[in-house]
Amino acid sequence: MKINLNNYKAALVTFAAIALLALSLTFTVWRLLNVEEDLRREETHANLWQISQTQFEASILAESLARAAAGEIFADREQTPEFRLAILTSRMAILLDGLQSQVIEKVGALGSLKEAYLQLTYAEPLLKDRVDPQTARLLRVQVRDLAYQLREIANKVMLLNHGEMSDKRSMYLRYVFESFAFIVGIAMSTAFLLVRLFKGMQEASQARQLLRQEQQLSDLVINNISNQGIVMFDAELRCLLWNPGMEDLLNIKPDQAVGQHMSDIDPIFAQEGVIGSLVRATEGVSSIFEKETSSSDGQEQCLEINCLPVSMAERKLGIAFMRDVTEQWLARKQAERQNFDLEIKVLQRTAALRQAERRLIAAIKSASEGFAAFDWTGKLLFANEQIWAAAPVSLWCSEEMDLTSFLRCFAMCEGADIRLVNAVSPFEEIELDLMLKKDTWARLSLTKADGATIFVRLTDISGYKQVARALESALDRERETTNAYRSFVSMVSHQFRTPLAILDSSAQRILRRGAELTQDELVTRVQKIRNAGTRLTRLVESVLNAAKLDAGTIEVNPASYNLVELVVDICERQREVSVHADIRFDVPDTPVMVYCDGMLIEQVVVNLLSNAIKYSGSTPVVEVKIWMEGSRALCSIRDWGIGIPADELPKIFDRFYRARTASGIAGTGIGLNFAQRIMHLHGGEIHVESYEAAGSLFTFDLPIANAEQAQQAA
Amino acid sequence: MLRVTFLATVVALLGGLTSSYAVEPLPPAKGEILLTVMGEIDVTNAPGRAEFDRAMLETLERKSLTATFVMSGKTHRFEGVSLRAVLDRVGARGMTIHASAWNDYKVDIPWDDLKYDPLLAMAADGQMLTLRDKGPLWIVYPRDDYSALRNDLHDSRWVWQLNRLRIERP
Repeated sequence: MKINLNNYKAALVTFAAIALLALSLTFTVWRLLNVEEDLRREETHANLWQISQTQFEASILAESLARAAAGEIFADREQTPEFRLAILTSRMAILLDGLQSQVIEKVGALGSLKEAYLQLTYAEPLLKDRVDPQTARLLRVQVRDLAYQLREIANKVMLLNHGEMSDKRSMYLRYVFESFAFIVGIAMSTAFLLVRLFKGMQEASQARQLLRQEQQLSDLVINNISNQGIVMFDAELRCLLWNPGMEDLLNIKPDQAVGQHMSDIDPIFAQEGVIGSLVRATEGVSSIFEKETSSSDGQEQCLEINCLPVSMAERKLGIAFMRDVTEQWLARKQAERQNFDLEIKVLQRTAALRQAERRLIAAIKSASEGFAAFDWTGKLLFANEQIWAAAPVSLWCSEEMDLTSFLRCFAMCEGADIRLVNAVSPFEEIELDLMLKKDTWARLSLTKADGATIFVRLTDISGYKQVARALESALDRERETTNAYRSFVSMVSHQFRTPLAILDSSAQRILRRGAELTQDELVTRVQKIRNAGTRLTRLVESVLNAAKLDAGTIEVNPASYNLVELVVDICERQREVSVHADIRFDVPDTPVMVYCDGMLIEQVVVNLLSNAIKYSGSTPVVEVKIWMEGSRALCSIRDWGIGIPADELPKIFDRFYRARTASGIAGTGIGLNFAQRIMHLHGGEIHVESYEAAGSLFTFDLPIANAEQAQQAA
Repeated sequence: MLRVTFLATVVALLGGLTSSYAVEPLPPAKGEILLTVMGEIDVTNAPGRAEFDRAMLETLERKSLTATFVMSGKTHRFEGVSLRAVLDRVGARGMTIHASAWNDYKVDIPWDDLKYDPLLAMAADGQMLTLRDKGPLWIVYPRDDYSALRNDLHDSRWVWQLNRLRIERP
């Protein structure tokens, strides 16, 4: 390409030089022609000659006319005015025609000269034969004037020519310089072309030498390559070159081959495919192929033939390289056979694998649990219907889900943890119990098989979960019962022991003293025994009540009661028992009718009232208050006793529970629990407000019996 | 050029041959004498000269040609007789033809010019030439046919108002 570009440039420079040469030559010749043309037109002296001739003729005519005016008879025709006029007219015509007229015009005399010519023409008829002397005289004057005029013109033309001559001289001088410049151009371009020519010849001779060397080298190479056959042929497929390699390959000597038609040399070239390739090579298309033949000794042989086009000295030739590739060919055939066997084996194995895979998939599909497989990057490989049907998957995931999004859609289920949200490749093994929807639990387990495939199983464990929950609640109940039993035993051992001790000690004293015992002392002792008995009875009663309540055997028989009456009645009876207690009332005057079981409510009020008195020290003050709010009637019982610590307030309604401030005061811990449960049976509630060492306020509420009263209260 | 030279040689030879036989006497001129030939001639009809009137000239080989008159630059159709025919008629043998005109113009025409076969024109563009129109005889060269004739030297041999030819030898 570069060489081509250089060639192109060189050609361009040469062309430019030739063009310059031609141009310079053309200009020089053109200038010389200009000069020649100008010289040819150089008619200055001719002009002047014509004018002087005409002037002379005018003078002659004037003389002739003068003679005619004098009456002279002309012997010679040439002397007559008529003859002289004809001569003058023809002279004038020359002056008024062509180039002459241009010169005359330049000196500004053309008009007057034409006029004179016209007048001469008019005079012609007057001078025929006889000439009137008068006319001759008049004419003579005119013709003489013409002669003067011509003399004037000659002067002017001469002066004009002087001017033009000097112009021309300078022009010629310029032409000389220009021509000189062009000649220099000619010389330079010629010198350049000569140098080029010389260089070109030198290069050509070098190229020829190089070519000869290359030819020798290629001959050397062609003739000494023994493992490769080389054959060259022309467009008619006539062999031009047959190297020793070909001789070795086909066992044909060069002198048998060169000059022969290719197909006549060896049958291999006569085959259709081969001959086609040879022809194509001469047409400029290269080809390479292999040909299997059998060698002269009958063994299989494979030849590689590479046909290439060659252009030599404008001729289109072809060259074919032939190589024995039998060994490679045999090896390749062997490899092809093995390859074929391998392919068959692979096909068989693949079919077996496919079948196993189909079986596995069928098994997975028919399984009751959800199953999905992902590759190690988290891409979904397979998922059965059960997976797709699982609630979060069917809601949140599409066909193209990956393991990360799959796990994330379970993150909202109960039992999920952060591992589901943060799961990215490589995934950890996970096992979680999740609540997919209400009452449906599933175990999600993620396991890895040989570190590549990740299996996800989703097992329905709802049944198992239900059984577990039932067991748990049963266990809780059992634990509660055990606790109650323990509390009961501890309470009984404590509460029952004191009255029993009193009974025992009183009985021992009576027994020891015997007759010594005074009446008063006996009364006191018996009274103590009775009190202890009463206390035991009460304990037993309350235990029984609690048992009844537990067994659900307490029946509520609601009826309409006046709450004020009920409460005041109870208080009066209590006052009798606890004489020292100061019970105050703040109750409405009108009856407050409530709907309840009177017997049970009485127990509640008795319990609250007795508590108030019991935990108020030696001088108990109790305030009982009844009022109505909306459809409910409320009753509160306030004391200013020991109070309940704030942290124990929530527990005081638990069975057998006793506040720590109550230690040293007899009690079972059943009463408040029992009262609260009675109120629950009535659809009411006992509220408590209490401050340690400041007293307590217990309030319970009951529904009002009739609507009318309720409205009034409202 | 070679051809022209050869032709001219043949013509000259023929002219020489015919002149030796042109011994036919020339009758005396009856009308106005248009041309007088003198010098080295064989045939005369007056003492030492041959005189031609219009009728005599018209009996000779007639010829016509188209040529451009250099003075006016105009092209005309000239008709007349061949100069060579006139010279043959009088058996002229020379090297130079000395031609002179009524306006006293004189010029020498080399014998060699006869190879161009110049014309003695008597009419131009169908009009008879008169004295005032460069007539009655006008030597006209076939200027447009030969480039060798297109120069001042040959142009000066276009003798108009011709009246006399004198044949000379060196």
